[in-house]
Amino acid sequence: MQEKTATAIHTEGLTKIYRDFWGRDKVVALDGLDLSINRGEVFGLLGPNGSGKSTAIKLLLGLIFPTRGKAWVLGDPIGSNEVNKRIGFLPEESYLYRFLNGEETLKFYGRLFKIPSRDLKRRVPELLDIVGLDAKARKRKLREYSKGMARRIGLAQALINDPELILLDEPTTGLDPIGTREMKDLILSLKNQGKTVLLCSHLLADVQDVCDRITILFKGKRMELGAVKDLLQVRDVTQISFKGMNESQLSQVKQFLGTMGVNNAEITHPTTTLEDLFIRIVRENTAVGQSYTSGDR
Amino acid sequence: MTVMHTIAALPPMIDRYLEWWIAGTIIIVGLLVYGLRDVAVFSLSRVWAISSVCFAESIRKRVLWITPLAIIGIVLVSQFQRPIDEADAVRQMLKVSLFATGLIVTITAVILACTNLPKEIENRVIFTIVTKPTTRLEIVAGKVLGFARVSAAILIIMGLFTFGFLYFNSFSLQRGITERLQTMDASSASRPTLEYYRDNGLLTARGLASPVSLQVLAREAVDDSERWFLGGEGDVLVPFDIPAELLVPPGDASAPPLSAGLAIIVNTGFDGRVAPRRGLPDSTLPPTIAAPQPARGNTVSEAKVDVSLLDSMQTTIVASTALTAAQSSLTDPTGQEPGQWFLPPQAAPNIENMRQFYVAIVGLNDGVEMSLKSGSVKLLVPPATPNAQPRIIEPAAPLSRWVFRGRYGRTGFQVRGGDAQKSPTHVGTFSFRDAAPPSSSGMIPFEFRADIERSGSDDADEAPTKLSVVVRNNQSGRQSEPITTLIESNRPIFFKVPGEFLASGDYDVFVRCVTQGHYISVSRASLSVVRSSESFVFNLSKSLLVMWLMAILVISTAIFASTFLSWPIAIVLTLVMLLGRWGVVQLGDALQPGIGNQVATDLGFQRPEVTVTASKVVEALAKFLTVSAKVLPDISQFASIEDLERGVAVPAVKVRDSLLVLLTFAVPLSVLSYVILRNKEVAP
Repeated sequence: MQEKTATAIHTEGLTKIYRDFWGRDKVVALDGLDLSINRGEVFGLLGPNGSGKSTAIKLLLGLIFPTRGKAWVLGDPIGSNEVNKRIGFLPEESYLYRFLNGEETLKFYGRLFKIPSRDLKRRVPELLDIVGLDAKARKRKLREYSKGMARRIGLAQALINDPELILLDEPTTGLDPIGTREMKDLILSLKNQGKTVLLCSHLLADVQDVCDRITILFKGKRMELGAVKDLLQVRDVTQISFKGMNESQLSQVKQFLGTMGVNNAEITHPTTTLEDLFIRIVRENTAVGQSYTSGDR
Repeated sequence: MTVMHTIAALPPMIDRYLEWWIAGTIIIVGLLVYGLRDVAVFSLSRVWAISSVCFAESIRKRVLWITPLAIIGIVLVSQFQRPIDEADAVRQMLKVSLFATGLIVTITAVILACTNLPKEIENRVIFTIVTKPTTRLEIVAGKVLGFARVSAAILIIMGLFTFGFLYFNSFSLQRGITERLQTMDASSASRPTLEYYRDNGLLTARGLASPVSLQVLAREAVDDSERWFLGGEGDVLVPFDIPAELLVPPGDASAPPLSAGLAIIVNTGFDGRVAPRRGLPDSTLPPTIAAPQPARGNTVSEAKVDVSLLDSMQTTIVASTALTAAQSSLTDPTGQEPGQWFLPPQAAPNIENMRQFYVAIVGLNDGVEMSLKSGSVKLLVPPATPNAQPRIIEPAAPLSRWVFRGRYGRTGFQVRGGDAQKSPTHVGTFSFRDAAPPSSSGMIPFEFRADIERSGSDDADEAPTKLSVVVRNNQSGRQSEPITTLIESNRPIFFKVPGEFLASGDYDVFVRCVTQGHYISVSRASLSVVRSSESFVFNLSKSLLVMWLMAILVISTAIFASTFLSWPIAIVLTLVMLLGRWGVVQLGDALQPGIGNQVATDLGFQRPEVTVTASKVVEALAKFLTVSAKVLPDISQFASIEDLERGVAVPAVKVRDSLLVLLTFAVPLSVLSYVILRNKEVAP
């Protein structure tokens, strides 16, 4: 019982079987998932398409009901009103009312949390600033938003209640590298605020950059679970990095390794990531205070 | 079949209030047992937020554009109308406007409410709603409220247009009335009615009081002790309400009811002076209204009476031929000599039909006036043993509440016209109780409307139909002078009566048609006293309110259907649910017990077992439809257009009845929607 209340999410044998019209088993989408996500950590849910990631998220949110097993979110049974007060959810796509503008959208979701109008007046622009939607964008109908802007307003609605637990389903889908980086920065900032983040993605680099722990699902079953650095560590390979080493020093290192019997050492220059290169170029060419997205003009 | 039998055998208390029991059970189980937690956290502010989004969606999707389209349609249609006078012009404009309003608000409500939830589930917007602290109960309530707000917006726009359109038109029409009155002959048939419109305006809302009963008699009733009716035309229904145990023969408590039969005693007087009163050329009347040729001769010395039994729905359960007539020819004009009939045990109907029933009395001498007095009709249960006394059973209502019916005309009972001194005629007796006007001074208007049926002769066809009206105050005993007025078929006419005769509200109005060869068809609704006049705007608002309540019913039904069906099928189910009861009512007698036999016989099966099976299937289907209709909403309760069209104040009771339908249907249906939605996986 203590595990259920101490953890942010706890599941025991969580199973979902989709059935056909006659009640016959059709697809086992999630098969006996046992999981505990600690409070304050960023947890990644990985897996290929159809592995059960979205099913797990939908079960945790009470959008669908488990066939077997149980789950607790922030110590309460899933789908309860109390749980919904304390969580935020960014769906895979921004499923929002397209006829409302950005501000109206946030005010509507704020009212569902019974946030007083006075607080909403402060909270809404604050959130729009955080997700990077400028004054013009706030007044535009959501149907006129680009995909990136829709993700941003989706994220803002997920944070309207200042949640303890945030569930992000493919949060970087549709975002360009800058937006992706900002999203990852935001996730880390949420973690620093002590919030728990459950990240569901198939973009492995994203997960690797921000998650403390991950689990990999395949065909509805849990395949791996652990800290990212532990899971990615190649134990029989050693890497030593130096900066500013010349050719002569490099040759001496090779000789030394040879005397130790290490003859298959590979010595190369490290490369930056394409994401880092892209970000550097864009940032160097964007004036201060100017938005870089074309959809935000 | 077992379920059917169970339903058929429900205790009267449950059967009578079936919809209330079902509604109460659904609400209590759905909200207080199943959804107590959601009720506890129910938040009106969340409901309002959800409703605001529904409203904004409808507005931004330009749903309200339907109103200018409807307005253009109304203006165009009104150009093609050919009203017969000013009042008819207003009536037709009002009818078209309100019909269009009702139509667009209903269609909009059905389409919006049926498509909303399935589309939100399909495009997954519902994900971001149900993952917030909103309960499914709040979602259902929010959607009902949201679309109710859209309906209200449509009704307000259309209401404002209707008022402006009518006000503008009635202004010029009223001026036309004033001009016509200036040039019109003082004795013109339509003058009193036009004067009424000139004084009260065309956009009126009259507060009417209706009579409590209508009796079609041969003479004006002097008091409650005697009534005269006309032989050969119509009949008299005497009501009885008898518990089964009173039909058990005295002296043998174990005997079944009616096992010793039942005697019917009727003392009928008659006026033998027939000849001087003859004069109506009946042979000239068309077959629809011509009475059989009356007996010729100077006097009638013997009156013949026939008796039968009708159930509470006034359907024959024992024909006169099934009764043994011990004495049906009466020779005493004062009615001392009793007519006697006997219902033999073997001819007795099902005892269930003998709880509330009528003894129907028909005078067989055409044109002969016959009389009935208080106490002149009674039943007698014969004893089982010689020592026991027969049991005498009196009617369930006094003479003033017996049903004196004329022959059926096109829209009511026929009141035969003519000169009462020369030929047998009828007098329609409308009894008003508690119908005092606000003031007993001045002249009080009455509204009268009846269908006129004329004889085939040219003279009679061309003559205007004249009405003679006398009002007698039952408290003071004073009687007004005859008021004569001309009437037109199926058109409201107005005449005025001195208020002093209406004081205390207890009075009878005697209506005669004094034009030879004309019949007027009257019902209880034909005559009303105008007790008050209220503003047209207020009346229109009441009518729009009733329409709005109907829109809420439509929305609740549509949302219920859309919780488990795709939107096209949901629209079909919504219409079936809303029109189901009306449809079953239209089937009427076709669903009465016995329909199975009738259908099976008509199909002409060769094998008897097939006939029996077909009969049972049809009977079960008829029963199923009848029971289903009971739990479907009665949309006729929302009909208020007719009142407005007639210029009659929509009674507050109509608003109440509409609310009751909402309570017994829309509320439980919304609770069911909540229960279904709570158990529904909203992720497709």
